[in-house]
Amino acid sequence: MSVTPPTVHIVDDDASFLAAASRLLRASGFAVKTFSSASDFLAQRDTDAPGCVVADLQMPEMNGLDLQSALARTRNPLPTLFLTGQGDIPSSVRAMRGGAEDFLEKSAPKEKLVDAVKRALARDEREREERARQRELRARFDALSERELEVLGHVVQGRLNKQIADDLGIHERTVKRHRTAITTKLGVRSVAELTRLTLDAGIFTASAPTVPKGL
Amino acid sequence: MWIVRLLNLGITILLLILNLAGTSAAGPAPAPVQRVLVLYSDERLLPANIIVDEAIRAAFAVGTNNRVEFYSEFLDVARFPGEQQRQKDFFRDKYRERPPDLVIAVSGGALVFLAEHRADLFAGVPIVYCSVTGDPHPDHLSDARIAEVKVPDCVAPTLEMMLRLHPDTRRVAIVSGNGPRDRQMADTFRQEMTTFGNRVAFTWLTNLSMEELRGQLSRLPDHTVVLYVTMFQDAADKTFTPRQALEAFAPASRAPIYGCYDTYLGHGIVGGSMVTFEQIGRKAAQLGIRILAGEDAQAAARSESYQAVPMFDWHQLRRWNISEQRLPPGSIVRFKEATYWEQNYRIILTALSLCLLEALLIVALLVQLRRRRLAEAALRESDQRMSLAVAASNFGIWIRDFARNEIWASDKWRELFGFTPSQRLELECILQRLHPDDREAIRQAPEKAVADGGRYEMEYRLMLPDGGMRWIASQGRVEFNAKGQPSLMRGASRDCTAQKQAEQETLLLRQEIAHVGRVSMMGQLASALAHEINQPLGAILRNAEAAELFMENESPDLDEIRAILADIRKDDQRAGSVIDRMRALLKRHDLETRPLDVGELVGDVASLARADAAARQVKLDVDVPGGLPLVRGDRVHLQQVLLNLILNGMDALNGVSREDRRVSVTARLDGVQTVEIAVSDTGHGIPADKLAHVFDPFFTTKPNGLGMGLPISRTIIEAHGGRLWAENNNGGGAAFRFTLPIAEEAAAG
Repeated sequence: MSVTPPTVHIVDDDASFLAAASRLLRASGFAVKTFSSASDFLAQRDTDAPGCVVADLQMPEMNGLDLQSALARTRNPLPTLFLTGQGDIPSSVRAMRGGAEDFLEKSAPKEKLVDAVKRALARDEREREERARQRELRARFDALSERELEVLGHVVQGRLNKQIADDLGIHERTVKRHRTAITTKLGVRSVAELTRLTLDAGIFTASAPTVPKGL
Repeated sequence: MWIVRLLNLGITILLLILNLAGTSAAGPAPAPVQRVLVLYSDERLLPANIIVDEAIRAAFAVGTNNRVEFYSEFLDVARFPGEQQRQKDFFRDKYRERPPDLVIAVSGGALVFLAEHRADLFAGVPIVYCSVTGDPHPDHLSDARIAEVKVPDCVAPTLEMMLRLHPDTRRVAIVSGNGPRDRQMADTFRQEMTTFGNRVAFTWLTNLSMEELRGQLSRLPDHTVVLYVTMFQDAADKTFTPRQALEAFAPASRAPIYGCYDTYLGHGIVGGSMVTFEQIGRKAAQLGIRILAGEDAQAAARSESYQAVPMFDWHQLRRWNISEQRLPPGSIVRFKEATYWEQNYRIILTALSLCLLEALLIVALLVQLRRRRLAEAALRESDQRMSLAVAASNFGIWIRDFARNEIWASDKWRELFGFTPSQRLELECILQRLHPDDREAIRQAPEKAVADGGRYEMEYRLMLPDGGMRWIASQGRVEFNAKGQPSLMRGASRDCTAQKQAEQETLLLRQEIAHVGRVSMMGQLASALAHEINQPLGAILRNAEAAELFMENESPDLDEIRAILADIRKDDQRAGSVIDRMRALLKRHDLETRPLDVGELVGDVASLARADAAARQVKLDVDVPGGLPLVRGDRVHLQQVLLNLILNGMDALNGVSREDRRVSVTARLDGVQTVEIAVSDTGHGIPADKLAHVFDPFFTTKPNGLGMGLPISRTIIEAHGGRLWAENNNGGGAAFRFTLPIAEEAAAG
C-alpha cells in the first residue's frame, strides 16, 4: 500500500476556474493537483496515487468523458467527479453510466462539491482495498493447474461430478481428486464457500476462462 | 392739196406694182404636151386595168411638170383574139395626127401586139412593158426601145407559202380557165412550178365549166390546197373577169385558195406572194417619165425593181383558221376587221386609265382616311392612356422655366402639393411646404441635375397642413438652350408615400427576420453560452468560498485573499463580456455600417462559438492575416452571418471522426475593393443537387432547422454590397464565402 495521501486531481481548461477550485479544495483540507487538460493529467499523474479526479466535462480535444474512459482502462482508475458549466442530460447519463462518482454544476454549493470529493475519495479507498483483496485472491487461484481451473469452472456452475467427468471425458474419480486438490489449495471447506470465493476473485469474469461445453 | 398729190402718187405706184405682177405671172411659155398611150391587153373593166390606169395617171401627176395627155386602148385579146389586124389599122389612123411620145404596154398581149406591128405603128416610140405575173417574156424584148421592170417570180413563193401554212398538204389543185389568155397564163405558172413536182402532187382543174369546177372544188380531198391562176373563160365558153370567176367558185371550195394577184384579195383567196397592180402601174409610169425626160430606157429599167410581198385576206385567214402569227414576216393582211378593241383601244385605254386612276384615287383616299382614323384613334387612345396613366399613377406634371423664372404645374400636381388651380407658383412658396431637411436639396436640384447630365431624380417629404407627411418622388430632365445653358426643367411628381411605407415595412420586416434569426441562433448556442458564463461564475463562487475558508484561519493568508479577489474581479468581467456579446446579438438592431476590423469581427464570433465548438468536439481555427484593410459593415449583422456560417459548419461535421472535425474561418484581400471571408468545414460537403438551393428560404437539412439562416445571411451580405455563395472544397467539406467592401477611408488610404 502506498503511503502518499489521497490527492484531488482537478482537470479544467479554464485556468481561472482551475485556480479557484484548487483554492477551495485546498482550503477544505484536500491535497490538490491541477491539470489544464485531460492529456496533461494522463501523462503527468502518479499512476499509483490514491485520490480522485474532478474534471470539466467540456474541454477541447479530450473532454471529461473521454478522460473517464481512458482512465477506466488503466490499472488505477480513479473515481471521477464531473463539473459542467451547465448540466446537459445526455452527457450526464453517459458520465454516470461510465461510473462517474458525481455530476455537478460548476456553481454548485461548496458543500455538495466537498461531499462529492469526500465520497469519491472514500470510494477510491474502498475500491483500492477491493483491488488489493482480489489481487491476493488471484494469487491463491494462480496455484491451481489448468485442469483444476477447468473443473472449478464446472463446479461453480453446480454440476455433479459425473456430469463433469462426461463433459471433460475423464473418469469420475479423477474429478473427485481434482476437487479435493482445489479445496485444499484454496483453503475452503464447502462448495458454497468455493463458489463465493471464485466469484469474488472474478476469475471467470475478468480473466475470461474457457467456457464449459454445454453452456 | 399736197394730200391729194400724195394719194395720186400712191395710186400710181400701186398700179405700177399690179402691172408688174401681172406681167410676171404670164411670163414662162406653156410646157410641151406629151402623149402617152397606154395599151391594155385586156378589157377595160378588168379590175387590174382600172387599178393600173389610176396608178399610171397618179404617178405622172406627181412625177412630171409636163402636160401629159393619156390615151387608153384595150385590145381585149381574150375575147377578140383575131382582131389584131383591124386594131392595128384603126390605131394607125387614129394616132396619125397625134402620135404618142410613149407607149405603155400593159400585160403580155399588148406587148405581143406591139412587137408584131411595130414597123407600122408608133415606129421609134419608146415602149414601157408593164408585165404582170404569168406574162410571157418574149425574145424581142431585147429590143432597146422596149423597157421593162421585170415582175419577180410570185408563183414559187406563193406555193412555198401555201405549203408552209398547210404543212400536211399532199396535193395542190390548180384552177385555170379555158380561154387562150388563161392557157397562156397557166403555161407560165406551170413552168415556175416545176421545181415542186417532187414535193407535192398537182391536179389541174381546167377544161371545166364553172358548175363542174364548183363541184370538183366541193369534193376536194383532205390535205389539198388550191392555187388559182386566171379564168377568163370556162369550158362552156362562158367569159368572166378572173375575179368574177373566183367569186363564183370560191365559196364552193373545201380547200383554201391562193393566188398571185392582189385583185383577187377580198374575193375568195387566202393570199399569196404578189406585186400589187397599183405598184405595177406606178413603176411603169415612173419608168416612162424617166424615158420621156431623155434617159436611156434600158438603164432606167435596170435601176427600177419590185419586191413581191406576201399578202392575205383577213377573212379568209379566219375562215381557214390560219393564225396571223404563222404568216411570213412582212406579210400584209388586208380587210382586217379591227376588233372593237382595236378600233377603240385608245378610248378604252383612256377610259380604263381614267377608271383606274379614279379607283386609285379612291383607294388612296380610303387609305388616307383609314390612316387618319387610325391615327386619330391612336391619338385618342394615347391621350386616354396618358390621362389614365396620369390619373392612375398620381403623376403631377411640372415645368420650371429658368429664363422667365416661372413655374407651371398640372392640376394634379397642384392637388398633390395643396395649391389651387389658379394660384401663382413660387419656388419659395413650394419650399415652405417641404420638410425643412429636404428644402436645401430641392434648392440645389437644378445644379445637381445639370451636373448629372440633365437627369433629375429626387424623393422628398411634403408637410401636410394636418401635420401629416407625404413622400413625393419626382423625376425630370433639364433642357438646354442653343448656348448650352439650362433653359427649363420638366418633370413629373407623384405621391410615393405608400411605396415608402412599404419599403420601410420591408426593411423592418427584414430586420425582424434577421433578429429572429439571431435569437434562434442564440437558442442553439444557449448551452454553450451558459457554459461560457457559468465558467467564470463558477470560478467566482469557488474563489469566494475559498476566501471564506481562508478567512476562518486564525492568520489568514492575505496575499492569497488578494489574489482571490483579483481573480473574482477578472472572472466577473469575463462573464459580463459574454453577456454583452449575447445581448448585442439579441438586441433589435438597424443596419449601421462603419469601418470594421476583420480580425476583431472574426475573433468576437469565434469566442462566442468556441464553447459550442468545444462541446461538440470541433476544432475551430481562425486565420485572419494582420494588415487587412478595414471593411465597411454592421458589426452585429456580420457577426450574425459569421456565427450562422460557423454553426452550420459545425452541424456539417456530425458523423465525422473527431480528429477531422474542424471549422476554419479565413480572410483575405480579394482584389483592391473587397475582402473575402470564408468559413469552411471538413464535413461531407453539399450534394451537387442541393448546392443551388442552400440559400432558398426554408431549405434545410437539419431535423430542427428553420431554413432561414442562410437566406438571412445572404440578405445581410447583399445589403452590405457584398456577395455570399457556397462551394465544395477540393479536399472535401463545404466552404461558404462572402465579400465585403473595403471601407472608403481604408480604400483611399
